[in-house]
Amino acid sequence: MKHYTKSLCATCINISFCVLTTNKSFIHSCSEYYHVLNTSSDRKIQVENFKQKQLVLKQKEWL
Amino acid sequence: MVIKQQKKLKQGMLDNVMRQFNHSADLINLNPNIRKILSITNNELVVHFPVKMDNGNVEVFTGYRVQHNNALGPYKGGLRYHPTVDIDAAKALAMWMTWKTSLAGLPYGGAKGGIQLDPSKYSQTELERITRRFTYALGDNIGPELDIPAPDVNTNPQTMAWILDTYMSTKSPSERSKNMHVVTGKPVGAGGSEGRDRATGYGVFLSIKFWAENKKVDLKDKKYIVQGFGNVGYWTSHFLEKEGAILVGVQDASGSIANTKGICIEDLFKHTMEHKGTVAGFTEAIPIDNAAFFGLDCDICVPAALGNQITADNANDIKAFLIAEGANGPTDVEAEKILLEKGIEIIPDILCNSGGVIGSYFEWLQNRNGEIWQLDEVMEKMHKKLKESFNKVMHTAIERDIDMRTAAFNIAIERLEQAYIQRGIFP
Repeated sequence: MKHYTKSLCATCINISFCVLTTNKSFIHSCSEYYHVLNTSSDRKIQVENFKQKQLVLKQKEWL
Repeated sequence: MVIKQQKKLKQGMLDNVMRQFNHSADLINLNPNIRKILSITNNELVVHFPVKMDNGNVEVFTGYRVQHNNALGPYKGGLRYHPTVDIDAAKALAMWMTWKTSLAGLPYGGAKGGIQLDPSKYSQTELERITRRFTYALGDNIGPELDIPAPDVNTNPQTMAWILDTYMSTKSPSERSKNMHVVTGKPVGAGGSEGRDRATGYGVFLSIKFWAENKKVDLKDKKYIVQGFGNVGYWTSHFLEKEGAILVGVQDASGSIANTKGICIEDLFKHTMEHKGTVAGFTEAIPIDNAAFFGLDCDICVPAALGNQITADNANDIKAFLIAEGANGPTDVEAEKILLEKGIEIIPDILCNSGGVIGSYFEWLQNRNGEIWQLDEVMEKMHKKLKESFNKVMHTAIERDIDMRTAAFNIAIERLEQAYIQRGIFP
């Protein structure tokens, strides 16, 4: 944290191994940033819900 | 000396946004009075509020909300929870939101804000109290027709639900249900919209599809690489794969992988779920040197992770004919010159990743009109809305013989200029 006082990297769990950039001192937007409030399964749930909906839509088309 | 350096760093982001604005303002010969107005923020709110912690102690937090401009409609922008949140960062990001909503043709202005804290240091119940107390401190400075926050770094649908509930609780019972659209990005069960989760990635995909249609390029069997396999990278890949395009390389925080024969999106996604969200170790591809990633043989390059990834150092290695900027600012100024000279086209971030804010707009509209749209309706409307923006940018770029980024900024600023000219300045 003390090295990156103006960067999201300061609190990112990937910081020790992140290969995306060597300049971690001023990152204000990153899709790989680990969101503290999110559980790792968040995206999985979203995708599963989406697939379920796609299936329902397909079934409707068949009917 | 240290203080001076810190001040310079703080200003960096704002300088970048201002440089882009001034460049476009010069090009379109923006009315000098309107330039003055757009150069500064309308309102900057700093609130200090106390919250009782789980151990009984009280901590005082600092929250920010910067409202840049509302000439086109209510302020719109995210709230982030991070130690780096400060007034300068919020100013730059709020200004950026004004251009983005303007280009997307939405009835919104730009805002940004947040609380300066590290959420990993607080329990879920503490974060709930912090969020509710912050909402109370913001009071009527936010509102469904005034300023509409959304999730950002370390805030999520749950955070938005807490804000909604707190804001509604401050209203009289008869008015409460009129305020559902005070925030967007809510959980689907609490007024959120279907499709919001994939809106940005779908927008990136649509931008690529529209570009391909315009250039009469068939996406089937076209090879593409994606930097970042988070929400945007995953959904972009998901939709591109359905179109017949082939993913040949992925880079994320853990490393870079490639397979010239193609990478199955769902297999890779399953792998990331089992390996703490990382692509490293995926057995259906080979690990490659990270520095070689952007030089992979492909047709389309989708940088969807972070800024300043394509620079003068690697721009000459790029073999793709199209770069679709899923992330914010992935191509730096020098690299852009090199790419454009090589004839490589760039769909700029302000257009390419605008699907997220368009998704937010749809949520706001549904709440405002008491409607609930099905997923296919949301996707269809997103297609229509983004096509309008894309066509405008493409048309302007051709008509004025400028690149797509310059065209996008020109359109965004001209729309604001037109609003001021038509409305005049009070009194």
